Amino acid sequence: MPADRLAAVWGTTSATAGVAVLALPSDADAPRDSDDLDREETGPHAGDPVLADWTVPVLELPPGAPPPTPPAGTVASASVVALRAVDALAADLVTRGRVLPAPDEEAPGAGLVWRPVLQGPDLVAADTLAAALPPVCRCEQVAGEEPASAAAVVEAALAAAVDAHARARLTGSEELATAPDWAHALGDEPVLGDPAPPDGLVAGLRRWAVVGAPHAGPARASFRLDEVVTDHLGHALDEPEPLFRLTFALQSAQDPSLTVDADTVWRDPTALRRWLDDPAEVLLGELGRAARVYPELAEALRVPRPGGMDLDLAGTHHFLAHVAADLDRAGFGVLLPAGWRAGPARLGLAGAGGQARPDGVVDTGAKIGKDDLVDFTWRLAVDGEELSNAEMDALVRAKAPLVRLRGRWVAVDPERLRDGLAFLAERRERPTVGDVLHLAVTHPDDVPAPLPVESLRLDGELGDLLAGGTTLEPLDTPPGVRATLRPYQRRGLSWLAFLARLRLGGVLADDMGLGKTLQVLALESHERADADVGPTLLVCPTSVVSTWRREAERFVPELRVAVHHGAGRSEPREAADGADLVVTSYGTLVRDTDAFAELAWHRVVLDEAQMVKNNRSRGARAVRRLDAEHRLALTGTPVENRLAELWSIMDAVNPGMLGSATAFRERYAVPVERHGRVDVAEDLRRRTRPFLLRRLKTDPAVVDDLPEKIETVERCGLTAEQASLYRVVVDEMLGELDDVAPGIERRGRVLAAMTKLKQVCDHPALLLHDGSPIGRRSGKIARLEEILAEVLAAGDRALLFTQFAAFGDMLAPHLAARFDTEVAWLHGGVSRRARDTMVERFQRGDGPSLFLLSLRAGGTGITLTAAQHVVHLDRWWNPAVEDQATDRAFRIGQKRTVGVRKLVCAGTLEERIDDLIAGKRELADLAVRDGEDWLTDLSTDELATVLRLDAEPEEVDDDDGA
Amino acid sequence: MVRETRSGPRFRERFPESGAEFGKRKPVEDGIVARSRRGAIGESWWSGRFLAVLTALGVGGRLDRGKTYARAGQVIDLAIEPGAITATVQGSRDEPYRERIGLRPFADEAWDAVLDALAADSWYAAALLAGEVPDDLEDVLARVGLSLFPQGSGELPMDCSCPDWSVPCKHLAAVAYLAAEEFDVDPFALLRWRGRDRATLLAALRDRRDAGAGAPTALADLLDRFHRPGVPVPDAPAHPRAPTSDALLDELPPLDVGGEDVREVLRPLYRRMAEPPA
Repeated sequence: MPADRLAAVWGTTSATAGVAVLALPSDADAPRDSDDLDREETGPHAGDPVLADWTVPVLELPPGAPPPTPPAGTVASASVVALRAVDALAADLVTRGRVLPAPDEEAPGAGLVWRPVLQGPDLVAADTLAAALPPVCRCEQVAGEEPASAAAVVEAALAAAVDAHARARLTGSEELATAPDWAHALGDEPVLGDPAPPDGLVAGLRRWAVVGAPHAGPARASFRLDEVVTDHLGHALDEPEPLFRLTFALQSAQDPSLTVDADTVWRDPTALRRWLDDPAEVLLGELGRAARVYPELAEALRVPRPGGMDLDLAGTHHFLAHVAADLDRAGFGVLLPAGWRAGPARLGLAGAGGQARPDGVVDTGAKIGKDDLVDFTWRLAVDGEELSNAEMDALVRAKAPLVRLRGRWVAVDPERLRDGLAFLAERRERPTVGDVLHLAVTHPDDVPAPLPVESLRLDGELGDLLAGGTTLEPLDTPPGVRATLRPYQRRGLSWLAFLARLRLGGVLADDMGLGKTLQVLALESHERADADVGPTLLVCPTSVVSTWRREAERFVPELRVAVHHGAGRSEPREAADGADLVVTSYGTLVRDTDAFAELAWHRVVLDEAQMVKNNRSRGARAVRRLDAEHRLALTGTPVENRLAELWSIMDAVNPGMLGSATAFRERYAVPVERHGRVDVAEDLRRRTRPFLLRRLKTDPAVVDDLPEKIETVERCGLTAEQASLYRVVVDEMLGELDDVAPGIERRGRVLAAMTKLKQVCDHPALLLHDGSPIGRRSGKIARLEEILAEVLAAGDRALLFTQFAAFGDMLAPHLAARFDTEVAWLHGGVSRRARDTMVERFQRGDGPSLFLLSLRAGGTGITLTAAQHVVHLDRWWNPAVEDQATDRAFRIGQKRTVGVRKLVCAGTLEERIDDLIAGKRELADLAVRDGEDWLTDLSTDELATVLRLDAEPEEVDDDDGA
Repeated sequence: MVRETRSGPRFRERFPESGAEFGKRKPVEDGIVARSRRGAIGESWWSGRFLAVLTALGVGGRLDRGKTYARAGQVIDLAIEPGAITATVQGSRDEPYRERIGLRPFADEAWDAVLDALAADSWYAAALLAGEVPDDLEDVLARVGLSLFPQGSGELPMDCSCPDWSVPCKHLAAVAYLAAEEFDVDPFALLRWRGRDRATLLAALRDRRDAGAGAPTALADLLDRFHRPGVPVPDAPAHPRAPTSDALLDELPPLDVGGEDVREVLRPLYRRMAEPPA
């Protein structure tokens, strides 16, 4: 085809017509068509072609110009594709600045050219292009010259293309225009002045060329393992056993991505010698060194040009399990397919099962017990993944313990595999529910299995329990309960009832305010609805003994509650007789341990179970001596973060389950607390999950169930000092009233007495005005401290309201010292500016966690939504005033549930007023008017009824739980 | 062939001859000191094989004294050359003794046969390059009727200019021990003694291995795939854009032309080139 027609077809104008001598495969009379040519009249070829020179018209493109885009409807031949790839590499080199100016050696002294800088991956790319270059690209015959090698063709094409691209991008640019004169030789524009580069530049650029010379630094051998899935023709292998190939390669130590297969090293050592002095010798020396680590390698080297070695299953197992890591340690490169791993995989056991049901019985509601059998199967797990039956069979049958798992090959340790299989063979009998649950909590070291238990899956309720119990079907509120359980409380009840049925101890650690008391009372009611069960012993701090009694009476009136506490207490046996619930304090339990231990309890409930956190304390030892079918612990502190405490409480309800205290410390406490091991903490959480239920107020599953505020009345006891003072004040007042006619004076006396009584309930020193120390003289303060300890432990903030400024003055420094924290105290004497600062700091979160306010100064007008808790230290008779104060924390902007507690001393006027406000009991018919005026209108007898102390003083045990 | 010496020692400044006491060795400064400080010398099996020839001569005490000499640094210089190990050893006389341990080099034709065998089996070169004489190298040599090691003292002519009539004398023994240590770290030294130094040997192996490779394949041999690529043409490079296109300039030494640093002149040009034409 004449050159002008070629140019027209290609649509190129920059090419010039010429003539060249090309060596082409030919038949006798003409060159053969290229494979890409799709000519209609193709005749059969006679015999093999021979190479012959032909003088043909050609189009010559300017140096460095890429082959033009093929015209529409035609396909570029492989040679054009290859040359375009060279051009693309050149353009990329220029973009990345991998080019250097150099003196034009073709025309010394005449100008500058851009040269490619080939290093690292670029060098490999250029070599690959040379390997790919179709022979036809080398077909031009120039008289007096050796035929060019593919590498030389690519090198020349790359150099020309780099120069062309760089010049094209610089020509006309502002950067070039403002450059010194000599630099204009780097573009296509004419150089002003002397066209020869200035002195020093040529020599300098030659020095630079050394820096830009191809080099890959020192090299090491690397080994690449692949599964061979096709033969060299690309057909799928039909082998009975999988086949693997280990390919040898040279890898740059500086740039590991620069890796050249040994076959390439052998095929074209000259090309590689440009960047490594003796690539072949380096490779051989490296292979010789590797053979010391991997002696099997020596056999593969017994050929002139070793490129790799084939590995069977056993060889691959050996390589993966041992050699790969050894080679890596010895400094060689090891490349495994993605997801494969050097070293043996972790082999473990996975158990799965579900409730076994008697044949033919389809009673899904069947209650399961601790001793029921479970359908249970053990399987092997590799790297935590449970093997299917087919995978296990394959592993057993395989000549080497290499298993294909989810698309990757994994080596397992043969001895451990054998042990694991033997274990599987032995475990044919069905375990009980208790066995399986015990397994779930037991530390791997204590499990009598040769391999660690990686996972345990159970269906049905047992599975729900292992998952943490929150997926158990919620129970309805038992009929005997005078309250409506919230959904999360019904789930909690379900969990408690399930554990109780299995006779497994539990720790209910819900956030305070979520109703642990109610859930336990509901459990008692649920169990007693249709069965005769013995008494439950509830042990709690002294300060909440009466709260328990009252809550039980209020929520489950049918529950027969006996309090075994205080100076005039009877024998435990008497208290338990005919009772459903016996409430006692830790202090009393310690004192009467022997008597308690003689009785058979249905259940022991440990309230505020952090009291037994020291397992050597008398309280904890007394608890361990109790004989109970079931044990529960209640705590509101985040026990899961205090591991020694967690162990003690778990051990109190499930003795021995978490192993010895020493072992627990070594396995969990030290790694988690000292080394911050998240995985160990997670492992512990997983193991204790079935027996520990902790819901936070912020849990999504709980938060929707929660009202905006939860109000509770906390009943506190009086100390003996408080009780006697209280009686004195009542007696004095009643005595005085006989002498006073109704009217203003009588009213004044009554109000004064009521104020005194309220002060006594807060603290004796308020009445005595003696500035005496707080000590342990107030049951209310004792309870307050317990509440605040929980609040602070949870990182929450609280508002504390009192109507007595003097009480606030006492309390603020006391609480600050007690909790070593800042306590804000807002009373009438605080300036407006100081008040604003206090409020702002509290809201911002960097201020105090406790905010004490006088009801008058802080009851209105300010926003304190940073608080999640409100405590009313004393009662105001008008609920509207209290609500207004509560609203400080409960304004727009509060996104959490606010817990509101009202502290009330049991048996005092506080409690009776509370009952009254709640619209209940014997005084319900009395009209409630604003303020306290109505009280003053009561007759003396009526007053006596309202004010008389109706409770024994409760000693604040110094040794609670000690 | 390059003569390789283990060190470039200088004679110690010696005291006047009158001060020299006969029978007592004169100290040498910068002598070659054996690495082994006690026990046997020659850790590898191949230097062991070489030393065994000496041991078989049964000169007993002289070998031990030679060992002491080697450790004391009495050997002033030592060279392992094709056909002979030569050395000078400072004895009790002022004039150091000249030593020579001869070994007949393999004939060129024999070497050709050996190299053919080595080139056909990369294991040998790999092991030698890794610093080890492969234990079956002897088998290769045996197939062409050769042995790497002397088969007895008859193949190991030893000369020393000292008056001791015993062969080996302690001076020769010292040289042999130091040569053995040299063989330990450089197995090629053993082959050099037999006539081919490392560079020559590797070049010969390379030539054999590369025969047919390296030189461009003649077009006439490629007619069956004349228009086809040898390997798939690689895709266009897909490098993530380099953060700076002028990073290469920072690797270069400064170059001052006309009072300006060429690197800084080029820097804006590199940034411009980083923008491919739209």
